[in-house]
Amino acid sequence: MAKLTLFAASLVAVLALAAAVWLSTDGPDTPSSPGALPQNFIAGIGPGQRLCIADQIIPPGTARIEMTLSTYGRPLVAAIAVTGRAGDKLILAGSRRFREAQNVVVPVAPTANREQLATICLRNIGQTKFQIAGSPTSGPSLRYPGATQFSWTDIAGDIGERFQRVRVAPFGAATAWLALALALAAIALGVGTVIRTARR
Amino acid sequence: MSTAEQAGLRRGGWRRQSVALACAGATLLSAVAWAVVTPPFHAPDEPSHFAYVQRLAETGTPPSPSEVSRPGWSSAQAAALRAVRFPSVRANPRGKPPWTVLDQQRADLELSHRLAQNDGGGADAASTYPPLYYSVESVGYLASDALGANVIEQLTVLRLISCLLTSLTALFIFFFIRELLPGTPLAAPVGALSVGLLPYVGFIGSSVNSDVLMMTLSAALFWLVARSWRRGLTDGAAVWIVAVLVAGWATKPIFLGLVPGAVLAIVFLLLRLRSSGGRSLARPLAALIIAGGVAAGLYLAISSGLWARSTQPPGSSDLVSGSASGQAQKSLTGFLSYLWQYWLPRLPFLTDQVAEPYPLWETMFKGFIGRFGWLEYQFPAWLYDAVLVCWVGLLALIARALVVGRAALRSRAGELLVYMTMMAGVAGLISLVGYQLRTEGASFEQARYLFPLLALFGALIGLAVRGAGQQLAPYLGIAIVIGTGALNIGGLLMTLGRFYA
Repeated sequence: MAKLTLFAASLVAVLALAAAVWLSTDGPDTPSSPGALPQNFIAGIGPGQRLCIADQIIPPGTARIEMTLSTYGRPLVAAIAVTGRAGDKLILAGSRRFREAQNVVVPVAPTANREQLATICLRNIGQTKFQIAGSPTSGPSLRYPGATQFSWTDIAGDIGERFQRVRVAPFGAATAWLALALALAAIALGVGTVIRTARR
Repeated sequence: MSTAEQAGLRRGGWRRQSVALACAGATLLSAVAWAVVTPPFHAPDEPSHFAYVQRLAETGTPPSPSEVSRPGWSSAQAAALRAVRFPSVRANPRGKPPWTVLDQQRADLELSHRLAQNDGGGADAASTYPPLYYSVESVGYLASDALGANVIEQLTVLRLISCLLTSLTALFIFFFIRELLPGTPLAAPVGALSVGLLPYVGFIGSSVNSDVLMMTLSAALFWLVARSWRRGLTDGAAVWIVAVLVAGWATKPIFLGLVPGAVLAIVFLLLRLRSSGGRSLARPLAALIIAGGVAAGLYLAISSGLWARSTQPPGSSDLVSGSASGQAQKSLTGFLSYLWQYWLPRLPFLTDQVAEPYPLWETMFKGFIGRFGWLEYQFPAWLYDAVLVCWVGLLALIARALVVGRAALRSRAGELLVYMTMMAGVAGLISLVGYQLRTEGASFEQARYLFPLLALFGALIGLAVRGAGQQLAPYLGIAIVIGTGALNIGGLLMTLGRFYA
């Protein structure tokens, strides 16, 4: 009985150590907000035309806005502007040259601690038409990556906060972690059952 | 028997039941964790399965595949899907669900409208499925609806019912392994827990999906067959076997893969009854026929009579009748070739029909260990390799158990043949549908279609525990439970990372 308990505890300790190492490691730079699936290129914008994408929620900590443009194989020049709901200019990227299917990255001043509603406008100031990647049903695909890479220990609080939105979360920001505690309890119950059966 | 002996027997019985209940409890805890962590509608076809339940509960009739003009989702469900930003997050690894205060305010506004709940459930991914699982779930739907729950809250209630069914699956698997390996007390709890704590079982078993009831009924069927094999076919067991077969037919077509094996089991059990000479065949035969007739008649009367629905498995007749619907490549030899190369290495003279180089490994093994969401995220590749290495060790122990117990194995050859037939039936049915859809350019196979065989998976683990011998078995059991549980935690963390990091 004591040997089995010691064996189980050692195994758990080894796995917990491995998990701690993994969780403290930086993960990839992940987007911090939704983006429509870039299924195909939509919304053709001709020379001199403008496309504005309204009601975009830019989350706190956003460092840049990403989108993918199709230039029909030719270089193009476009201006990209991001404006706040009240017309505050968050960034004006200015004129830039783009290539076909280029992942366009527009740096924005970090939006710090609060989310902002913004309208993102693209104006074609070149001579050729271009399109933006997105979904015919959900609209253009815009992505808002954060400024830095993340580690689990850094963002554990954020995950709890984000998790409780638009779902059933009876324990608020603690709900996600309580669910993990349930899964840990399941292991404990399972190991206890095996040890108890072996003892008989 | 003295009073003290009777009390001792009662205590022993209670201890055994408490072990079984603990396995079911652990499975329930794991499944509830998955039900909480998985964002609404982010399990395979969950919006369609929810729409089926809603349609059935709201109107009293299930969806029909011919109702193409009716929307797939009701106005209320469509609003909920918009609120969780479903179209842009589904299967899109870069898409994240709503997670800010502003998102919440918008969603609250969207969900606050009392929109129609009975205008959806048209032809959709789930509309061809039989209605039993959805009938069970509609009880939860109606109860939560009466309490004023919105669609997302209703979905959570339906998920919790799925969790209960999944824990029942673990219970049946426990009983099955106990009947199969009564001399190895650790086999049943370790086998049942290795299924109950598996991340993919937690993920699917906590979602709204008819696979959930299908796996419960499959596990119950395996238990009833094993029990009858050991104790003889009683009238009651005969009734239950037939009732479970009809219930499986009324739940999901893939269950029908178990039917040839179950029929073989019934024939064997009746022959054994006759050769034992002690009992007449008339009563169990009558029980089988009457129970089968009543259950099947009831199902046909409701489904075909009342609702005018087909009770045939969808799209299963083309190959058998040879009337391929316009797709010239379908043939019996083509199917046999496909069947071989899907489950076994392709022979040089066979025409390549399968896209993946090793579908058994890529789709089935990896998927069974864990592939989540709308199949858009999974464990890192090295983890599947590590699990494979563990399985090589387990297979060696299984082989040892079979060699050591070969005398007993010979005496149970008929039972083994039944389980092999069930396995072959499920694999054959998966490939039959897969072959038909592949010739039409679609892909069908997923690891969850192996869930009718979960009881056999648990039994293999139980056999490995037996093969480890009395001294090592507890250590192996603990390692298997902790290892599977660690995979489960990893899957949950990955889900949190996929959607919220």
